[in-house]
Amino acid sequence: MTMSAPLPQSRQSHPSPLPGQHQQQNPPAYFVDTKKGEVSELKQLLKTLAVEKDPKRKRDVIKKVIAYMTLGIDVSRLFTEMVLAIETPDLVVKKMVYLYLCNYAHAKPDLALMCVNTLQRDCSADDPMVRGLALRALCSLRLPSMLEYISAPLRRALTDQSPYVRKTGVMGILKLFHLAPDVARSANFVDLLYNMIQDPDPHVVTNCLIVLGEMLAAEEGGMAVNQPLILHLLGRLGEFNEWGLTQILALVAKYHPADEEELFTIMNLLDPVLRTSNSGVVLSTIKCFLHLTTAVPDLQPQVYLRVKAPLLTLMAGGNPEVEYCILKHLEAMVHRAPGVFDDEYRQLYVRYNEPTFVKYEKIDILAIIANEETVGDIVAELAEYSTDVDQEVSRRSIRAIGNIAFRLPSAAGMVLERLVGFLDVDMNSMRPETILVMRDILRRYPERKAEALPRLQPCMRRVDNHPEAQAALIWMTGEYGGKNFPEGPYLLEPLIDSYATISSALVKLSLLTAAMKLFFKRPPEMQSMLGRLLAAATNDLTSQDVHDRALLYYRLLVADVEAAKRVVLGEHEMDVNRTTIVGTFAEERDMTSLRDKLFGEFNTLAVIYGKPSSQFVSPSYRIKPAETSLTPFMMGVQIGDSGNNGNNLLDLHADDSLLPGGGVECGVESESPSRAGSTNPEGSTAYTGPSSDLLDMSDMGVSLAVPTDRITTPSASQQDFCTSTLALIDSFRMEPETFQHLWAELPESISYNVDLTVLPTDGLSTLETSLLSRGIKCLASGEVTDVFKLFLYGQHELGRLYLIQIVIHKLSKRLNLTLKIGRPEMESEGDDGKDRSANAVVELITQVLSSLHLL
Amino acid sequence: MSGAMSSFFILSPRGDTIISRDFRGDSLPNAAEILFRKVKFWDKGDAPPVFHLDGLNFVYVRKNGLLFGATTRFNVSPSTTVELLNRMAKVFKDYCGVLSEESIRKNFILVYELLDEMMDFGYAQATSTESLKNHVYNEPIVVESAKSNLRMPKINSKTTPSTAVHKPITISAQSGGKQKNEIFVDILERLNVLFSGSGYIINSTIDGCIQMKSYLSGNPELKLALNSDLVIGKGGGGYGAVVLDDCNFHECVRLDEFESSRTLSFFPPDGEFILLNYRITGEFRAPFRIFPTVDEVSPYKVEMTLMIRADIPESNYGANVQVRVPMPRSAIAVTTEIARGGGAGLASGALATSGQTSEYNASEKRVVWNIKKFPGATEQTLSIKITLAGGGVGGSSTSSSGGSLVNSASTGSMSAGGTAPPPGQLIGSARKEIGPVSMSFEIPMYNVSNLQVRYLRISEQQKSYNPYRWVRYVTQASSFVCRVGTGSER
Repeated sequence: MTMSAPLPQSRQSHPSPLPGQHQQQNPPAYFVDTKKGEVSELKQLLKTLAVEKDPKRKRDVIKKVIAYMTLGIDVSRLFTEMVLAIETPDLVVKKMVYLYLCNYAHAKPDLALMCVNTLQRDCSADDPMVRGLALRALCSLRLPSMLEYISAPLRRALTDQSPYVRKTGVMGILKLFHLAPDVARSANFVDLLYNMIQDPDPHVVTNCLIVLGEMLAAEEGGMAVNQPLILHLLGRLGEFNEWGLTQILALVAKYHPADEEELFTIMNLLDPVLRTSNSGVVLSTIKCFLHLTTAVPDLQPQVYLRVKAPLLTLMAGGNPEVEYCILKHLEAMVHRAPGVFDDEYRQLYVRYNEPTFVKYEKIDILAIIANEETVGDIVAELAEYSTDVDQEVSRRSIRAIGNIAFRLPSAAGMVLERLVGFLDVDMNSMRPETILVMRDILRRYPERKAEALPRLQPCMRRVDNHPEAQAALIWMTGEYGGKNFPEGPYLLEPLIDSYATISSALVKLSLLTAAMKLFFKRPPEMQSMLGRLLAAATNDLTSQDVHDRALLYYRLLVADVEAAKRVVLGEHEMDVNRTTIVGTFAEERDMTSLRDKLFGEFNTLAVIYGKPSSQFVSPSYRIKPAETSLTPFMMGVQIGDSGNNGNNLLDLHADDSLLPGGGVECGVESESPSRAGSTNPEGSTAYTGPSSDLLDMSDMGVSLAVPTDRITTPSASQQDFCTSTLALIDSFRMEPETFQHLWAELPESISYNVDLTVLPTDGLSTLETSLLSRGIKCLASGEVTDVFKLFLYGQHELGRLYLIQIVIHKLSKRLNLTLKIGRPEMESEGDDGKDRSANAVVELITQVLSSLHLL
Repeated sequence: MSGAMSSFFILSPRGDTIISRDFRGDSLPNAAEILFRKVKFWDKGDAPPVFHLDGLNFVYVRKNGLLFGATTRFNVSPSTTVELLNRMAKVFKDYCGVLSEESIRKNFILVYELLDEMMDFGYAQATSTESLKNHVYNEPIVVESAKSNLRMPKINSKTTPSTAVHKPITISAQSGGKQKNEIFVDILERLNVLFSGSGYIINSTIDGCIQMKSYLSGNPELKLALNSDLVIGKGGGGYGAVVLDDCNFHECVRLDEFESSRTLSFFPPDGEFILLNYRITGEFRAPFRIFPTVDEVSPYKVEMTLMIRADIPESNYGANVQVRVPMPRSAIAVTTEIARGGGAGLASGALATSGQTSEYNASEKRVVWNIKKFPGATEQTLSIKITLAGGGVGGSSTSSSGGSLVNSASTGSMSAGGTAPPPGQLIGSARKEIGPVSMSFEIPMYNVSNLQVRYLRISEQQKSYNPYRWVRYVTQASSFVCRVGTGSER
């Protein structure tokens, strides 16, 4: 109970958990130094309160109690006196006493019962304010013993004429629910609440949505959403404050519109909401737009375009915390909508006085939105940040420059030139980071080694204190230090000779491997060096790993030099013409599937942390994932197709350049040259293009993100595929007229959407030749503004015809595949078989796509 | 999705808990302390406003040195939570007059009362200042505002003191008959300009807003008219028109007449609010232009001349101008000199440099140049002489004896591993470290965009009702930066 005086100087070193007192010149001095017995004095004061006439003095005494309470001083022994003070017409005093009660009720449950009578009486007071306050306090005591006293006033409150009391009552249900879930459930409160959504007061409605949402979260994944509810809420949109809006928008995001018309109605209703200045509301609206349009991928690019300006305006509002949250969501969106934000790259330039959490985000996004046109500006800008005093800003900008090179092969040369320039700057951790980035670039573009390696040479000694960077340098020397880089061995020699001074095991390990690699490439120069190194390393007692690896190499060399060469260099190095080229880093692939997951949790903490919520929200706070009871409209079926078959083909007609003979690449013509190379059954590396190594490929197919509801089970489809289900006839040809005729006539068998990681870089020719090698021929293909279109066909040995339309949206990188199957009359297979073969076609095409690294 | 706050607190700049409220009993008892420690000792740079620790999510915003923090166990919308904290801070400011440790401490009962009305079981309820008025009974204790956050110099007697904006909203209602009907309108533009070393503008944006604070009784409907030729959306607009990239509005605004006559109608909520936010990214005339030049006088001496020109009308001026220039780490001595008015007489020269100071802060390696009042259509010049350390890299060796300077003539004498670069490289790398020059300023009664308030009217004219309307224009630097060219740049 003592309140020692925390000295001001002690605060400097560590923050005191108690709020220290703030010395003020004049009263009211609630936070002045207190002596022992102060609480007792208060007790005396409170006792005289009953006869105190002056309301001002009365307030002051109670205020003092609250002041102590908030300081963390235990004033719970004043409970009896405080309960007595509740009998007052002064609302200020009443509110303070309620605050006190709610704070200490759980500590004095028996005493708390004393105030129940008064609270219950207040729940029927004339003043609605008093009724509301008393009810709120009653429900907030968090005492199971209170249950029997809560129910009656609560039920009464729900029909109170004052909206203030009603909304307090609604929230009271949630408090009751947490106190005793079974009581709340059995009291049919849920039905009552559903009815109260019609309440004329928007605050009451908002609270109903909140309470239902939380009560039903665990079992039903939140409120049930249907058309009348959504239309009712949307019609009243203008009445709600921004917090009410976010509740409504969260429900709308769960809704599946019945048809296209309703979709547009909802979107038009929500459009003005994008102009509000509350970023939470705007992001909720964007989430609605994105979720509502999942069924209509064509619309998504338009959604991104529409929300671009509002997001940037919110970002410019001068509030770094808001800006940070938006930037995190922007990052999620730029991956989804490549190209949309490209032209606003200057808005992401770092400002010198921003908090670093904003700077880091901006730098990361700049790397993603750089395109062929802006890459020069962006790399120059990032280069400016590389000398920033904040090491992380510097490190991230160098990393970002590297990432640009991975994304834009055309920029690799320019980036490398920049990075080489960084090697001369003696600042922060610039040089080590630059070296690490250059290593990754060379892994991707080994042909650039001649430009980079000589410049790296002088750095070897300058990164002594950065083992990781030094190890990267050594690795590059070993990997690329063969023919084109005669200095290679001499770069390693000083290190080998000063082996004893190297302290990092990482550096030693890479030195061993690099020396081995170089030995096979330049034996005369390396032989003695390697000997000395192996001798030193096998006697090295500081690291078991180093010792073991040295011994392994030594024994390998003794046993069989050729075998050692195979082990150390790997397959690719044996053949001088081939080197490992990293297409997509494994991390990048993992990121893509993570990003998809996070996108489902748009406008939640998951986007900020970059983790799905299951990893950081404890089970009792989770919302049950929604049931996947999708309407046909949501299944990804194209809206236009049902009523208007062949719609897309008509588009094609409109564009003359796409007609056969009008400059169209006809698959048939390019058939012969491609077949020889691509049907190599033993295409051992995955980079030589498609191969018909069936087992290998079907493994890949299984690991793809193919929706399981489409492809029955991996084993079944694999089997389907391995047998002759898809033996397509090479010699089959179809005339464009026949195709068009059949397309209009046949029903759609399957429509399938998949997101590509990259667009086909060289137009469509590679894709076409790869498909051709699997027996799928191209009738026509081309580019129309924002989409690639391909019309493909094939015939099964048994006579079945496959007509395929592929549309790739450039902005969203979404590929939409529509398949129609034509069956010869004599075939009388069940629908089941047809479905299976449709799946097999889809799988075949996804395999081709993944073999081209488009997936 | 949605979710509730577990607890809320306000922390002083030293980490003391001023206000703390537990909504649901599922937070941690020492959550406030955890937040403060994390924010203070974040491992890389500034702690992000949202982070996660042991199952508990922390969200905080900084306002006037105070930390407004919240915890939650739900997967909430981070933006909504941040906005809610901002809103709470705004309501406290409206009711207490100013937002400071002292005002919150003195009004803690009021703050708790507000908090209980704004939040129930961790969910936001009514948060607008005027709707809270019906439920809040405590009166504010007025605290002198130590320093207004918007330093507005007095211009003439027709202006009301800028501190008038810092009185609590309920005061006027209480002081009885003599209540003053007034409304403040600020057109505030924050500039972000980035110049390359050669004076070319790399990036320029205006983040503007119309901020209002209403003390009007009876809450009448207002109409505010902007430039009639205002264009929204890039690429539109004729010659001379004001073109905004985009804008957003306060929720009270009705836009019925906006498309036709660029008029906003609204019932002003009590207290401070931002009526309109806007954003311009086009070309505009920067109010100041910065021209840095760097000369290498000798292998260890660099001279920098910084000329700044005010491209604003003579009748305007920049107030509280501060220019900051980072110096290379290898600098061992820096002297600065404010140039007298070039060519003019002694008297005008003295006038030009009055109210100016310049100094070199050796520990931060930075030159700071203050100009109290920078008149429009004038130029000011500062020259900086930098002496670099004679040897060693990165200024690590601070001892620069005369001997090393002499030695530097013969570079071949460097024996110790050859780590020290030749003087040419030293000076080159030092040059790269000079800058960028950053500038902060305020220009009263001036705005860059030309966005104007044509009029502010009470829509139903009542003869007896004629409030005071204070309209001010202010231009501020948000990030006004000039890079120092290295010669090879764009």
